[in-house]
Amino acid sequence: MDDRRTEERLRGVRLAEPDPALRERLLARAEGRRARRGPLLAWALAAAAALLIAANLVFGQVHGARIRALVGEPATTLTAADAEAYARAFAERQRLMSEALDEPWYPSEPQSNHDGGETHGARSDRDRQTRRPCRPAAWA
Amino acid sequence: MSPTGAEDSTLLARLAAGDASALGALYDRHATGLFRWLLARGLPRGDAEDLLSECFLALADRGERAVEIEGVGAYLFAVARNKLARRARRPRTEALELVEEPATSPAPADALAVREALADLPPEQREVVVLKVWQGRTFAEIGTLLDISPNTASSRYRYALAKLRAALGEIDDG
Repeated sequence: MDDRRTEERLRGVRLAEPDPALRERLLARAEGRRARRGPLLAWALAAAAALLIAANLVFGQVHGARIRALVGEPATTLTAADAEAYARAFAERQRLMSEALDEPWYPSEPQSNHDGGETHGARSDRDRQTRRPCRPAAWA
Repeated sequence: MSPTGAEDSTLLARLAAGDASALGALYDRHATGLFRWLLARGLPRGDAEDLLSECFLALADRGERAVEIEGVGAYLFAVARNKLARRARRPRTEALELVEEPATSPAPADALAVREALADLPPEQREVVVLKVWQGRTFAEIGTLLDISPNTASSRYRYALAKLRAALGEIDDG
């Protein structure tokens, strides 16, 4: 028996075919999946966004805790004792600067930024008369 | 006998555009060949039908990207090969369900003899015989579908045909 006859003999035998109902089931499943894909994609995107936000918040908390552990808790409010210590340090700084500049230094007296309506020229004259160094109000 | 690529491209474009009937047309063109190949690989009929559905669902799931597929047959066979590889450890059927129950012509004895002869072939040779004899594929096409060279397909076919000839001749003589 040659190859051609063998092939013909094989071809004469009927091979199995898929169940005809399979086609309809497949098309129905494909349609169902296609209909679900849109909402599923939207939910997946929303879930991914929520996850990203949550991860960002958690990272912020962890990062903040890490920074606080490294540098210590920051001073949140300025107490009266702090203000007094700051004023003393500032007065000392002014005294040291006056010494360095060889200028007279007058112990601190209450100063304010409020000039009470006095013009710059009037104030300069008054300072000159009292031999008091002219200090900008901003130093106070 | 083998589906043409131009018509497949048109159907893929329709499928990508959301035309559900295009999947049915592609099924009509490729399902039988793929199904017989799965049976030739030794799968039980039920498993072969499940896998066939999975392959076409994978095609449908590509949506708009379906137009990127160059050859539907090669794509479906590649999907089926990958899914088969994942099932490789599952037990295969003892009886080959490739040949229909011989209730039709030609003579039932001949169908039984062919079924036995095919069952004795290694799956690698049997799949080439099925694609060549029953699907009318060329060796180049078989090579593309099975990811082997045309020469390998040709030599597997020659070995298979020699075995089949010997088996059927023995049956005739006996």
